[in-house]
Amino acid sequence: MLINVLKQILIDLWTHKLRSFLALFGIMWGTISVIMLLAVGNGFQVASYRNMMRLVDGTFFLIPGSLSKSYRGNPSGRVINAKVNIMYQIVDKVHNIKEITPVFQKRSDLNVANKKRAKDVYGVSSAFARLQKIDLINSSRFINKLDVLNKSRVVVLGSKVKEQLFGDDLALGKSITINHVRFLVIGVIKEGTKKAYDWYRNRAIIPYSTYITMFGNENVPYFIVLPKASADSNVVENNIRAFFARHYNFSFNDKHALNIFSTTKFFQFMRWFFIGIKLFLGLCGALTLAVGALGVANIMFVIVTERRSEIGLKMALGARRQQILSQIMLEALLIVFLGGLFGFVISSFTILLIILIGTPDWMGVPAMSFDAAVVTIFILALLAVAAGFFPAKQAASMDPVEALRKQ
Amino acid sequence: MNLVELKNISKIYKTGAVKFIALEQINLTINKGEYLAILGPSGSGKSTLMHILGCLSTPTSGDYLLNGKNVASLSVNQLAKVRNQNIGFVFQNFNLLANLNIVDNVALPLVYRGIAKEERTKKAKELLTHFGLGGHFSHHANELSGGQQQRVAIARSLITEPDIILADEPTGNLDSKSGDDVIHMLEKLNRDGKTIIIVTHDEKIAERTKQIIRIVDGKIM
Ligand SMILES: Nc1ncnc2c1ncn2[C@@H]1O[C@H](COP(=O)(O)OP(=O)(O)OP(=O)(O)O)[C@@H](O)[C@H]1O
Ligand SMILES: [Mg+2]
Repeated sequence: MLINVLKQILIDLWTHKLRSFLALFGIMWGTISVIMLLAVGNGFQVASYRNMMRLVDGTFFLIPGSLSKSYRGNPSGRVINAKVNIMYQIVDKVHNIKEITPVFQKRSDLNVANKKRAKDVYGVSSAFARLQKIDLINSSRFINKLDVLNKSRVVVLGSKVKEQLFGDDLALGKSITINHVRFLVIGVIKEGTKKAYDWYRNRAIIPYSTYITMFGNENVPYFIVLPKASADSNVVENNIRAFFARHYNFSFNDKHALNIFSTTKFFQFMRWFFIGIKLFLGLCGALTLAVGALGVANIMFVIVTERRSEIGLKMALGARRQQILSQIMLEALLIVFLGGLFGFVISSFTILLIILIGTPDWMGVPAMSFDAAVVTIFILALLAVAAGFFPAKQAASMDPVEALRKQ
Repeated sequence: MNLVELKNISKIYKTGAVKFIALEQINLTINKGEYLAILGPSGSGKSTLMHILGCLSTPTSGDYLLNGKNVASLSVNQLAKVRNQNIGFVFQNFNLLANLNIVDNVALPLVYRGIAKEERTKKAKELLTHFGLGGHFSHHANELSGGQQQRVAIARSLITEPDIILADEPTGNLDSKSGDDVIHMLEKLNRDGKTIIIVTHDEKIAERTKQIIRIVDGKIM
């Protein structure tokens, strides 16, 4: 029974090819819009999260700035020059600090034999590897406390730097020069798995003490701090601010004097940000889809008008209103279903194609998520019912005598 | 018990503020096995009366007893059920569905009774064979002559074994030979016991029936 009805509807659709195609196309295009936009949004989110991975959730970036307003004799504009040893006081005075590192950074020339590359060189403490989730290849080690104490000339290389300077050769135990000063390679950063983003692959890392000796600059651009897991991150943040305000004599409320970037807050923000982006993209797609559904509704109205006498006849033969209603509904559902199906198939292929061609890093790899599919199907079903209902209602409420009357 | 009993049936069409009395105080009794013509000029209200008899529309006032049951005030779905079970329609323009073959056309009323496909088809084929259309099962309506199409339509009206066959100008679109065939078919059905009502403005057709109801300006003469 149902098979026959479906067959009949397909024949009808085939009889009016152009009309059916336009209706199908509207839905198909809308489906593609929803799926593609959500897939791209998804890929973008994944890529962005990967880029943010180094912002280990829970860490703070402390970025000293300058006073935005004068405070107790300290003039506005005065620069906060934080030296490395303030670190020990932070750990001492602000409770619940688990790890801390200063971060210096300067572009320098790296040399091996006749190979020369300009790279960003970081000066950090031993905590840095944990704070930035840095993984090293086997039998390498990161900078340790002794290195810092001795101002050792040791360096950890990003995977790309190692590749460029040493190729496939072993780098561990070899020496390179940084701005003509000889360094021993003690570690190489592991290549991120599956294109996972690693920030330091194109960078080199040395002890901050060595850095200061080499470059002479003692003012720390920023610190990275990780509170203990048990601590309340807001309390720690406030305590850090209070400590800095007291120590450098600026107002507790002067955010400009000490910029604290909380990754926890940032991740919270990003979560909402991406929900917003996806909602927006989904809505754009859904609107396109709604326009498609309007097309289907329109065509269903045409079909109902065309079939006036058929509907009248069926009523005369005893078809109940629900039976007329469900016939038209079924037809609209089928158009939407077919359009949606084609849309899904085409989107899947398009996504595959995009993956094959490749996308820029920041954009990520578009991916059709389960959620997106569910959302799309839900919207489709909703629109199908809406597109079918009103024409079907019109058909079912026809007066059989009127419907049978010849035009 | 009378098959049909119309008591003071009126039908008034309202178009804006204008009222048009299409049927006025119609009283009519039809017995089982009757062969009756409703005769009258164009616009006299014949079709309106037939639509009420066929439960396609309801009267503005009056009672309509079908098998003793008042159908004047039934709901739309109840009327649909009555149409399906008690009435068979034959139309001037055949009203066959172009996208179905003639077997499916004839079987269509049984769809609304929820009867299984095989049974519907079997019954439809029997009827079509009986009316000399055995070789045309897979044909669509537009592949048949007008006379053949009307025979298909009559087969369709019979498939539910209704109490009454209502035929509105059944020969109106046919040449005289095919028209005669259709009238003969209806006569034969009546001899076999079917109640048949023909709506016509053709005196000759009316004279061949057992009883003529003349209707002018919505009133029985
Ligand atoms: N829905 C309607 N609204 C207003 N007037 C109507 C309506 N239907 C029918 N009428 C009027 O009622 C009168 C009777 O119509 P009806 O169709 O019953 O005539 P008829 O006897 O069948 O005529 P014909 O032989 O031409 O078919 C006509 O004057 C027609 O204009
Ligand atoms: Mg008429």
